[in-house]
Amino acid sequence: MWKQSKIKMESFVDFLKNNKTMAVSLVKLIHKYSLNLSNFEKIKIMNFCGTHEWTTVHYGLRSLMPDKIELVAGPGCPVCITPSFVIEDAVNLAIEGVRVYTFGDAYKLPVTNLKSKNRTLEEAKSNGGNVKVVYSFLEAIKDAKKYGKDSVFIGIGFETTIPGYSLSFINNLVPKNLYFYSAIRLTPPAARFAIDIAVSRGLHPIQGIIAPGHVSAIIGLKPWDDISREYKIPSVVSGFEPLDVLYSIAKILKMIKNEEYRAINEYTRVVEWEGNTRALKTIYKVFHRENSVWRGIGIIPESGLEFNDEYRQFDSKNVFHLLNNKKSGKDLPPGCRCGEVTLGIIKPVECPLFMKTCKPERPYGPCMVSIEGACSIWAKFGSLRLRKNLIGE
Amino acid sequence: MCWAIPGKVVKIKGLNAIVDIGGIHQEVISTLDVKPGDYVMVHAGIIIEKIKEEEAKKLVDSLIELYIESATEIGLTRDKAEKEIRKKMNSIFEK
Ligand code: SF4
Repeated sequence: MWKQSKIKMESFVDFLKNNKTMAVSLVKLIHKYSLNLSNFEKIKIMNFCGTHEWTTVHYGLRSLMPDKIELVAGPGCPVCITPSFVIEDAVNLAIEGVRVYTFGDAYKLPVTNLKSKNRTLEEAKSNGGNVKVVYSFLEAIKDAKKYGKDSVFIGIGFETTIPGYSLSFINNLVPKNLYFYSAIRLTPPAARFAIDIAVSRGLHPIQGIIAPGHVSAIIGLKPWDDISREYKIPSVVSGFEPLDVLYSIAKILKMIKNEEYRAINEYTRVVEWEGNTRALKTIYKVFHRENSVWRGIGIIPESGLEFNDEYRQFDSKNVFHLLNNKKSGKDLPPGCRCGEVTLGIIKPVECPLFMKTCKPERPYGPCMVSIEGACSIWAKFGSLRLRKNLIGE
Repeated sequence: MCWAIPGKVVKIKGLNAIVDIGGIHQEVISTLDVKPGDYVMVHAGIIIEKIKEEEAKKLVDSLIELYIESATEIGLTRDKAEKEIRKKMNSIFEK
């Protein structure tokens, strides 16, 4: 009888957020499974999405883990890794009078040069630059149609965001006066890079992957499965509620024990094995992969998207002759260690500027800007809500 | 930036869809075929996927299994553990 009844989605999500009984039992299992892994001194599990890091910090999941389990934030914040030159170009365009559309996340993203008059698009706007914050590409399209003059959309984002761009081009929604600045980056190449760098720097290797649920809604499980098999690291594509993440960690530990090196799907309510195939097709009709710069990190092979010839008329880089885009990624303000934070080499608190020169109210480095940047999450949401609830049990 | 929020499709408008997100109607681009009544995940003005209620049930089943595994460790019987957790989950099912 129970099996037949329909799930109320809102209540289900609420359960995944708040149910203490289930959380306690998952935490107990995680402790039990980690005891079973007695041959490992430490187990390092990396997430690849700022939202997972947010859940981890906001609900105090780290403090619930056995000592040997280390949860590490990996490259999961597109704003953090957007090169300084993208913002420099955007600022210059805005000051010249071209209307620049940006997501709110990137509005306060600072350029490297501390002396520059307009360090962010926000400052450019207050100095008379033509900047407009939008919630979506669609909103920019609507505004640009009314505006009728030259405008540029700063296209930041990982896989989750890209179909909104590609479909708009394919469906002919984009007016001729709206150009697109691609700062699109891809997650799996960065995941590989982070895994490799742990090895090449002699750090503790990454042994489990909490794979990003909404990126995977588009790309599916295969890219993670490939990584898991190649590197012998289990992956779980995970939802974003605390119970989703705890469940995924438990599964990863079980898979490590069983030497099961593949990707499994915890987030089946949203993600399918092959991803969103229709969205994927549109992406590669409009764009192709190129070696691209990640801020503070450098060039990661085949990790960004640029226009195919067929759509090049929309490429702001061609139209406005922006030559900046081949610079290297050594582009953090002095002392900022955002690149290392992004790759999981150090924790935000290990940066000497954390909460001193660099605070959410006045970000000095790029990892302190977006709500998905590890430094900003650690600074704003260091609460231990779930743990406090659990202590009573 | 990869935040996505759930919403319910209200109507279709050409190539786009109107989605109810927490009581606010928003026009979004759809990356798949949706119809009014579908639950979807919306990110930065696009529908990235549908939410599949049937699949949520599978997660419920897996969670129950893990709960039983954990509860039997401390001496509860399977039956008792299952009853206990299902009672806690009552609220997530339609009566
Ligand atoms: S705390 Fe600020 S300065 Fe330090 S790594 Fe993070 S963003 Fe950079």
